[in-house]
Amino acid sequence: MNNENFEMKLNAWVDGELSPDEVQVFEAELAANPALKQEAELLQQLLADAKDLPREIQPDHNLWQGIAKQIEAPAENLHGNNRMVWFSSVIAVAAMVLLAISLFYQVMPTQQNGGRAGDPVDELAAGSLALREADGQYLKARNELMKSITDRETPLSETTMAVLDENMAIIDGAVGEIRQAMLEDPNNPRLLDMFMATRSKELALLEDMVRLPEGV
Amino acid sequence: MGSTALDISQQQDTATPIDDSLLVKRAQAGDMDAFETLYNQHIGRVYALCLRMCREGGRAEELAQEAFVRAWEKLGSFRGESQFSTWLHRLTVNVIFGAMRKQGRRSERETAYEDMSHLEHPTREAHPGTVVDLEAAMATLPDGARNAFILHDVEGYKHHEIAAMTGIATGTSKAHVHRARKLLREVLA
Repeated sequence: MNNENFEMKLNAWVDGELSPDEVQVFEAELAANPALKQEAELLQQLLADAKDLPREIQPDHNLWQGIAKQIEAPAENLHGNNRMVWFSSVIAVAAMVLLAISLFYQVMPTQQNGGRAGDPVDELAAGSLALREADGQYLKARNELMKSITDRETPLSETTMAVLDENMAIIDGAVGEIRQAMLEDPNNPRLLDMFMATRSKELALLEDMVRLPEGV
Repeated sequence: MGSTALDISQQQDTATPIDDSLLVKRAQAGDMDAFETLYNQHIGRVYALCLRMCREGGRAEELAQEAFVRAWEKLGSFRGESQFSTWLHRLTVNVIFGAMRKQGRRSERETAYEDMSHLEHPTREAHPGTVVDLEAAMATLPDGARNAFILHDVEGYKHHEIAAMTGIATGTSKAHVHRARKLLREVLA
């Protein structure tokens, strides 16, 4: 029996995972090999010591005052459903602002072709400013959702987090490309549509992640 | 029924632990005195887990505090299907893992402690007390191995429970425990 095989069998033996026949064979091997027997005894002793460790250790300081202080200020602690309501509000505001800007950009070329009200440069500048503001709202919502994902009581699996990271990287890449295109072609309403759709997908993905059930 | 916080403090004087279910019901109704009694009855266990898993007293106190604040916030969802202590313990594990995840410390420590040979090995000769030996040896383990060992071999959780609580695969939990046992045997031999 090689070392790796022995370790596997040894762990299975102490954890009671071997069948009666396997136990018999393994214990015969231990009896025949003092070095293996010593390893087995060491592991048994280790597990017995682990079980004997004190269940309770008192902290150096009384933590109750700090706990009571936080409990008494619930408004500062947004959690659970309240937090989701808050997210929804932020997302809704961000979506409305972006929708308004989208309409602004869609109407503006028509105005430029026909009767127009103001200076197109000023309107573009105002639109760009509003876009930045709306994007800021989206980023705020995104940061809160990301925080909520990392703060989950039951953390997402590493595989799920890897999928999330991958998707977020793709979305970030897309947002960057659309931004660049908007700089080069600021009057193109299709780009704004794409920008808004990409941001919405990003938030929808994060919202889904926040709501994933335990054990995913 | 109908007893007050004063009743609770009087019961505490007898040094007999008060029934958790009664305290939980009162705490769910907003009684902070009842929750304080729950804190007093469970802080030792919660802090021990935090200390063993994060290895720093100050950080362990922060995590224990956060666990109780979270418990208060989530108390409404506790239906008494399990023991309060079980529920609180799981919540504490989640708080600890959430904090570790945030700090991104796990992967760094995995690498840093990969080679045990350069570490100062606490031995039975240096520390004659078995408990002290083991606590010190556990603190030298890589995070993944240490956490799985504490949850499985000290706290008695099953691998599938550890997997559900921490977000790792059952096989990974098993591998971490086996690795921890081997490293500890090397350190303590």
